[in-house]
Amino acid sequence: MNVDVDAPLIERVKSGDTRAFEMLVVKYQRRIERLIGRMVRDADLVPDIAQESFIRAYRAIPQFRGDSAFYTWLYRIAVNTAKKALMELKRDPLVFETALASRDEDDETSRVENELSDGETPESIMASKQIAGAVNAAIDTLSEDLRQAIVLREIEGLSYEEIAEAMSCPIGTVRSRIFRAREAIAERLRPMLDARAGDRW
Amino acid sequence: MLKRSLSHLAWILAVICSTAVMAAPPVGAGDSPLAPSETRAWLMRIHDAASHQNFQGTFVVSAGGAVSSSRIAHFCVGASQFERIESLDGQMRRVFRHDDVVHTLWPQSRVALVEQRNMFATFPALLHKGDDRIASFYDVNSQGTQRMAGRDADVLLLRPKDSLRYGYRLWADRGTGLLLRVEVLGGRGEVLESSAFSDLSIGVKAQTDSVLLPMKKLDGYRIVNPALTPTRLDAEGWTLRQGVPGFEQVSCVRRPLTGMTDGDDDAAAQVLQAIYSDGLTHVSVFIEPYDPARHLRGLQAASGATQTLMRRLGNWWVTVIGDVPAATLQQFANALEYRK
Amino acid sequence: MLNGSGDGTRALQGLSALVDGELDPAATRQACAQWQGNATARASWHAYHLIGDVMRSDDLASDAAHDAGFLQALRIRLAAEPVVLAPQRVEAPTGEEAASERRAALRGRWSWLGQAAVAAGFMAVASALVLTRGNAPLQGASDSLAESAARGNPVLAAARPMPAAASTSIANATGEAQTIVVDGKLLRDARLERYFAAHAQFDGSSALGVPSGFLRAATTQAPER
Repeated sequence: MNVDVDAPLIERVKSGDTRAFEMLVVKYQRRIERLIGRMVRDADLVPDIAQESFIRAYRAIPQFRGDSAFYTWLYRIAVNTAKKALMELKRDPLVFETALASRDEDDETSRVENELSDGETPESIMASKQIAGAVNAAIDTLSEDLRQAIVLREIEGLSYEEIAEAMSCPIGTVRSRIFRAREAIAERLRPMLDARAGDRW
Repeated sequence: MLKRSLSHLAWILAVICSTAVMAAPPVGAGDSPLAPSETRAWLMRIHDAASHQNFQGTFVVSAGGAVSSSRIAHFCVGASQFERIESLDGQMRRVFRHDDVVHTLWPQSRVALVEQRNMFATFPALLHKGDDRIASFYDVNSQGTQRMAGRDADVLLLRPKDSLRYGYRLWADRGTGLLLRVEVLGGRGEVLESSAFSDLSIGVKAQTDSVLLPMKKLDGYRIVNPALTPTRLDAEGWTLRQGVPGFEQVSCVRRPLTGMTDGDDDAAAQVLQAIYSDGLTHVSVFIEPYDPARHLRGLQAASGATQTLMRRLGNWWVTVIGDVPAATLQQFANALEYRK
Repeated sequence: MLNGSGDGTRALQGLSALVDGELDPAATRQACAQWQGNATARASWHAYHLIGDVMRSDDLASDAAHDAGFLQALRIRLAAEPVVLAPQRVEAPTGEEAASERRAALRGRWSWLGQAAVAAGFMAVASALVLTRGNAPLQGASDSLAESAARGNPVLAAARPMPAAASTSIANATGEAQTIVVDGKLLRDARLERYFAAHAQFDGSSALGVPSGFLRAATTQAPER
């Protein structure tokens, strides 16, 4: 009974709109990279395998019938792509022990690197922490209405209709509150996300 | 002419039959009931495989709405067991087990939970008592074979004889007995939860260092080591006025709930945890003093196969959790009595 | 940064609705065009999703430059692919009937829930428990996966990636225990998670040896330092 939130974009993709696909990529890239990062210890390989996963998904879109949610389908493709990549590299699917084996216990740098999981660098961890902090701080300063709306949507996963029911307000108000909440948070993030990021996309 | 139509009919039947095997086997059709001794043999084989096989794969748990996957590896070397689990979703979590010692690591927050795996009167022991309890409370039927995770699997259906427990459908690897998939079934035969290997390699080479080394390297980790103190329900002043059919108490401990937030008083709060098992599933009964600041609202919640019940009982707060119908939890809660 | 023009705001509002899948086909087409042509739209689409991801899981916070680089590289590869064309209507219960059906179902579930209960605290620290919609039980792992997948794994404050409940009955309060069918994601109470953990600890001891509860808890317990 629940509609996949990605249904509108999927339909666009099936109509030949590659922009819609790119929008889906922007949406799921982080999660897919995290998933692959856990399967493949070598951080350098992650973006490549993630890209490969998206390409395969793109090619297989015509066969995507909406039986499962798009993300579930994409997730499976990513897992399979990662496994294949590892096999081709003749690596053990559980690469953890490979990393252990190659670690030189006395080498300070390699120890530090091995403690960082998923190929994070100290700089990117800092950036991530800052962003996470900013988002959380921003949410705290939202007015109750806005905060409730965005939490119900993003955390509880309720639809606009359900949120309208829960907050006893029209759907239009829900839409507006969620938008305003996002904008308020994004405001705090923009300095961190590089003002010209839009140009990069 | 007749010959041709007969063979055509045979072909149609063959297609229908093969399709039927592909779909979830309906209860009753083509099932062969198992005698208690056969049930015991099956379950022992399944249990043994989990302990003695070397395997590695991706395990997916789907509970009505959410999916979570993990990479699992298990090795058995001599009399020792080694296990490694790594979450593929959400916060990174790694679990390492060497026999009875379990380390759970959260690399991001640098917390390590060190626990003794409590092998209370477990399955094999229950069986050796010559007590075919499982067969007394479940009807066990063989449902033929199916392909699962790229292997041939024997399918077993365990239907509860009463309404106090859930049903199970098991897919056991033909060659080794290793469980490939488990479905927990509700009263209407609906699937409440499914756990399955999406890919699996059996007979892999044991890599014990991949378990032992991380268990030793805990530098920089905050170590949480909750102590479980065995006790007795009656020694604590409690009794279960009436037992719940099929369930026997297998453990009773005083323990902290592992709240891992720094400076959280609740983390230190001790609760009494009594565990009851019917051989296939277990129910935990938690008892602690009532605290109006923390115990705000009773609840009865269902998620996937797991039911939870929380309520106040005089000066106490009771929590009952288990993969059993809500009514069963109610029975436990209703039977509790404080006698001191 | 809402640019002064109403159009710009409306466009971003549309994008925001599209993030939630709540945009009709015509408006979606426009939003995609906007995304392509407007740097602010592109940056906002990224930001809105980053916000959602971070709300659910701190470790999805990103280095925006990395994200942009990823898309650039992918674009090059996509350019080499033939455009897929499979214009079929993705099944979606649109239309009045489906909508009113949902409303009716919702009303049944929400009716007993007072405003106070809803407001009682959706933030991580609240220990009040709130009802949300129940959903059909897992049927061959298809429709239920849709929910979780669309939402990803919420991990804010030790949430469990949970499931819609198997039954939607709301038996009435006997005064003390309210029977609530709970979508596990609303079990915001970190303390409840600890009971689950203590219970699941013994999961491997059954005949089946399948620690599914234990594994399900894999995404819970985001312990803080």
